[in-house]
Amino acid sequence: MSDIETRTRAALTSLADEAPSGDNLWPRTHRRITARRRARRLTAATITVAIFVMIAVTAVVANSRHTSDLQVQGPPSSGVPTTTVSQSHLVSNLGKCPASLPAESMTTPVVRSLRQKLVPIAALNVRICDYASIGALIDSALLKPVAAARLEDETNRLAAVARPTACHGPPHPVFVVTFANDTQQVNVNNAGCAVSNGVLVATPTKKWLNDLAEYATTSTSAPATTTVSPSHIAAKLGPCPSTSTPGPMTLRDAGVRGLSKKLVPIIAVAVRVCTYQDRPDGSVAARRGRPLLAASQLEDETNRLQRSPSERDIGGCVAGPLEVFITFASVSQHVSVLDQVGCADAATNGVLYVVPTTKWRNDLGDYTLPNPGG
Amino acid sequence: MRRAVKTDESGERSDAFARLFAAKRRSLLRFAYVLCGDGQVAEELVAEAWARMYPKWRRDRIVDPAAYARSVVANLWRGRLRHLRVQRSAETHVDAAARLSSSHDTAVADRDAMRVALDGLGPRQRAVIVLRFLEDRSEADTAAILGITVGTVKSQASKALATLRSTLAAEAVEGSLE
Repeated sequence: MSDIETRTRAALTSLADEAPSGDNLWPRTHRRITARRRARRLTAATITVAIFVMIAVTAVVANSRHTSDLQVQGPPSSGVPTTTVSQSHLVSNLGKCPASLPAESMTTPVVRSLRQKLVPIAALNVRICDYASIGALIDSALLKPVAAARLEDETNRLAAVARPTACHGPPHPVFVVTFANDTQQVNVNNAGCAVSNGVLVATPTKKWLNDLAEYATTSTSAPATTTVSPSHIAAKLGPCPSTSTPGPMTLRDAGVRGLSKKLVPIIAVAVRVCTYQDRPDGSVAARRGRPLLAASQLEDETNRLQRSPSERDIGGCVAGPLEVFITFASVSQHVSVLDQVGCADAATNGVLYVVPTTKWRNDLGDYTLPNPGG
Repeated sequence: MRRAVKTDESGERSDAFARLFAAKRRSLLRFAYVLCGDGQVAEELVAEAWARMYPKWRRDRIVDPAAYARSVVANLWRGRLRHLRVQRSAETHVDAAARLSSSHDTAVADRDAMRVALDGLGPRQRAVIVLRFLEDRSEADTAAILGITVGTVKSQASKALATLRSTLAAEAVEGSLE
């Protein structure tokens, strides 16, 4: 052992002898132990209370999100719909509609009782995606609890059929409706000519389709990033003119190609049907219609009308008692079709003449919704 | 009944801890005192260390309470050093200078010189020196208590002894000149 170590050892021992005895140290130590124990308990209690408060606040916030009935949805997103069974907080996870009609199956195999009901869950939220016949997203809406429950009920009341009916012609506009609660979601669509949840098939009613279109129309928000929103187009169509003054059709639809081949040679995303009837006193009563989205079905039906054998210029015809003036609008163009019932018994876009059918005329009546003002 | 049993058990544990404290108090105070050089601070460190030890000791998570207590004291001391060092350093220098000048006893003079020399050490070096040369703990024990490696203990002890040697030599020269 070196000298310095010896000296250090001796000096440290001597120094340590000066240390206090600590006779009264235990009471102080005991007090500290008790104080620390209390502090620990207080901390634990505070943390517990804080957790409860956080849970309560979260619950209140979650409830408050359910208060508004209808939630407007923003611009469409790309991709496919969310998975059939999602995690919690579906309210926020439903997301936006895919930009195009998803090709994948709409089956929801994890949800039970799909064979008994189209929507076998208690839906808290509903997302409606409205696709044109070409598969492009026209409109969308997010419904919240009250409207969701109403639509769920209406959907479940659709009459079930054994198998889907065969579809003729181009595909109809498709509604992909996603019903969701906090743990599950069910997709219902009318991609065929029937409504299906992937398992059960039912026949859609006109009311059901109209209601969906109505939901999609009324909750449409103009996406900030695009100027070709279908709702903008519908808005541009405006209300029907108070008098029937169709004028030369070709001028109205200048720049539209293919008018000689098809009555409606555009991909219509909105349509306005205006009906005018002559009164005995010579005045014209306008049964105004308002623009509707999801016009593909009427476009398709109109284009299937048979060509008139003798193409007569009905523009020079004396107006009959009833005129129907239909305006189809695509993203960038308009096409107008005039049907003068009782005059030439033909409908025309100004270039092409077709023979209207009774069914088509009846359907026009369905499309002619009254203006909100009456 | 269950609560009463629990209270009894708690009381027994508390008594056992008090007995353990009584048995280890003195040696721990010596360690703390040499480490910090102040009686009141040493008591403070020891009381705080045992208060912090108690919850773990109660759950039988401490194998060697004495070593654990030293570890806590050393850590507490290092944590509080900056604040305490300012006060203690000034006081110690004054006291040491007074003692050195007044004392003619070699052992006492050596002790006072050592006190001053210890002030020149860093907290870790000082803890190593105290554990190795006051408590005669092995390098492995010292390393375990301070949470460092044996190699660090060796190097810190070596550097500390070199510092002490030079400081004591300087003090001796100053003493002979006077």
